[in-house]
Amino acid sequence: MNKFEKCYTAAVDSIEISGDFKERTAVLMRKALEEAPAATPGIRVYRLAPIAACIAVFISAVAIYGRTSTDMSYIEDTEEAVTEVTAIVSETAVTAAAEEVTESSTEQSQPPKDDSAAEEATASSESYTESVTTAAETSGEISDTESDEAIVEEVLTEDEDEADLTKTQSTAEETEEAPELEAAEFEPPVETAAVSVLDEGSEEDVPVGASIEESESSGDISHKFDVRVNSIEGAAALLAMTPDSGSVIPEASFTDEETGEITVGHTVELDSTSAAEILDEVTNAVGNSTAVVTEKIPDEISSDFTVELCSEECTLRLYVSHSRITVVRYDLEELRVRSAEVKISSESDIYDRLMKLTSDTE
Amino acid sequence: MYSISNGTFDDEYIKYLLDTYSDMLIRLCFSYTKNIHDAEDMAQDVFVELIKRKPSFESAEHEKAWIIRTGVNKCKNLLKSSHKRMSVPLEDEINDQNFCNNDNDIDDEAKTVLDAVMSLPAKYRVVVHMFYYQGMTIKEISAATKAPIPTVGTRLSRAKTLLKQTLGDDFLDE
Repeated sequence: MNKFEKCYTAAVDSIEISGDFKERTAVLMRKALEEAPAATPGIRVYRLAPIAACIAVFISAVAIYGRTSTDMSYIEDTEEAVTEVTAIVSETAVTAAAEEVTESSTEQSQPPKDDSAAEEATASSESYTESVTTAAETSGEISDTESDEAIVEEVLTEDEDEADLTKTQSTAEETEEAPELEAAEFEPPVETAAVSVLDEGSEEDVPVGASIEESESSGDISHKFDVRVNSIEGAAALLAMTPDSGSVIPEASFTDEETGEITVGHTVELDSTSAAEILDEVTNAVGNSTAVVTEKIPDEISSDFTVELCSEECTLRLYVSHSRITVVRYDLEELRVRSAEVKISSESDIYDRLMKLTSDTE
Repeated sequence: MYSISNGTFDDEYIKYLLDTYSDMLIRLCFSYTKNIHDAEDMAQDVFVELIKRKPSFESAEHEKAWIIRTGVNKCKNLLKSSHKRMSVPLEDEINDQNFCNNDNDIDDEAKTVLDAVMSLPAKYRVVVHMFYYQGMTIKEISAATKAPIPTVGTRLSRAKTLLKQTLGDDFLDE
């Protein structure tokens, strides 16, 4: 024992403890002892009760969900499945009734009441089974109706005229419904092809009215594309892509009273070859792109101008800048959107042609 | 002497508990709270807690370890309580950290040593008290405080270093 230990022990031993500490504490401990036997089990039960209740609710929910999902999956299909469900339900009802009988006989120990309870249980299970059987028959009738419809369809199919009529009607219904879906997101689809050029900053809801004129006088089918652009640069940009076959015709101009901006409308005529070339060029660019094609439109696309190409199958919107073209493809038939970013190679002259023509116009 | 409880909690067991552990527990709590009145209150709470919970002990060591650990935890809770942190004991103000009531009974060295120990952080004070006053081994301290053995050893070593800085090397050398 070193000096520190001796001194510390002496110092701690010198601390005075209250003389009545043991008596006071003993009184408190006896009081706690008297309360403890009643209190302790109560606390334990109180703590366990919510847990037991939660477990019971969970088990009940799982059981109910399992039974419901099983019933639904079976009822959706065939009579055989419905019959199977009927058997399961009736068996469950009988089992439950039997359990009730057992419980009531155990609790009451009165044989006459057991019989009556058993009879009631049997009756209830039978009535329950009957109701389920009725439901099964009803569902069977429904399936019969469906099969009848199938038979009617087959009969109609045998008659070619009526079959054609049916097909025509269905086609008409489809054509009536489809534009409504497309109009929600896109401009009305063009029959063959249309091109619109929208300058940076222009609103995207500029109408792209595509009127198609087929003239067979020259032997070639030419398509007139009614394109609205809101600036000379935009029209020039379109011309840059078809320098040999296009022409820009100033159509109208007006001044926005609020913003003071001058908007010029143009009609651009393109032949089908040029339009097809543009579409092919863009499609190939998308096809050869190594960029990841995403199923959504990028949030922000910086571009110098926008080109929109429409066809029967899709609408391509090109966001053109110096280094890249971001292509957004709206698939009209599948109603889905894909986008890809195509880098413009240094050898490409697409943007340069646009810029050159823009400067020439100025 | 009454042995450890085997599910029997009666007056005899209460007397056995108080006779065996009250002094030890109060002084242990004192090393933590630095106040004899708080120490007595904490010790009282430990004994009442034991009666309420009625734990079953496997051995006397188990019983002692339970009492020590409960006492330490109650002292920690007291020091963490906002009431304790916001209050200053009156005698501390008057006596300036004079922990002994009967200063005449101990010499100045013992008083100096006690003051030095009480100036240590609480986690070091408890380890020093258990090791030097109660004669517990590091392993026993570890079991009683639920702290890993290396942690207890480190705390004891750091406490010694701090005490040497305060008291000098000659106090702690063999």
